[in-house]
Amino acid sequence: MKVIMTVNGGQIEAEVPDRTLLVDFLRDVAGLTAANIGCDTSSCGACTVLLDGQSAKSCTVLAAQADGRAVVTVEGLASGPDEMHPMQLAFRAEHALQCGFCTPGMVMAAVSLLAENPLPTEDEVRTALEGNLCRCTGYHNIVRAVLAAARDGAAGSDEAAAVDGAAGLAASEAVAGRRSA
Amino acid sequence: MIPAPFTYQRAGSADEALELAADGGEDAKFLAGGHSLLPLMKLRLAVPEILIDIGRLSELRYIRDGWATLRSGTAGRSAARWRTPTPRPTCPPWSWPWTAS
Repeated sequence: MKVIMTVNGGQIEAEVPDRTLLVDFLRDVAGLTAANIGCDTSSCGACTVLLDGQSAKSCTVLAAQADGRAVVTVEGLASGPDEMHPMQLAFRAEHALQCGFCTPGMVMAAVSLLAENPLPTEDEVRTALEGNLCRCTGYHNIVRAVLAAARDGAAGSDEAAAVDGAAGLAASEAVAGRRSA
Repeated sequence: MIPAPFTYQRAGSADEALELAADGGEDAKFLAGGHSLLPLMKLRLAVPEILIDIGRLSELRYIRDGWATLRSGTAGRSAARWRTPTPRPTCPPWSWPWTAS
């Protein structure tokens, strides 16, 4: 079927088989390889992206389900190629990654959390990241990074994550407009 | 892994979803979010020929607290259920301990 979606602020249109998964659409059609395929069964969260502003495991969403909606991957978080999103800065500062495979998903889940809950407790961070596994077991630093980003006001800086379901496409286009301006 | 081939249909209303299901018969399954069904389809434990997407039907996205019942719409999100306060703490999934806050 023909799928049109807004990915990191730009519109992408492609004719894909009905069974195409969103993560494969992002990696193979959009050329964005940050969302990783880990477990492939929605357990590990390495493929987490924002779908209309909320975290979703893109290995378990059809591209067809994302038709007409706005997707943000970790490539689309920062405001420019030489910039980093506050959550990325916090992950770097707190040494919240080891091998890095889970990191794109962790960052997107964390951004989604702060969009809903700008100042979470440590318990709330751990609960929100339950669906994301780190096989290097670096959880303490990841939680520390999310708490640090929250303290630094990362939630308020993120326009993409604030996109609400109904207004997803329009708002995302507005973001694209601002970026290209 | 990708699922076996199927035809994707998106219902515009609950009535249309029922019509599509009647047309599809046993070969059709409903798709709400997909976090249970799609992994099963990847593993070929489920091989529907038609998927009827009801995920966008706001009429199926509700939580109704009746006197003796709690009804959750079939297109409702688990996260929405967990966030919904309820006077029935013994009713799963509302009773999961980490949902208390």
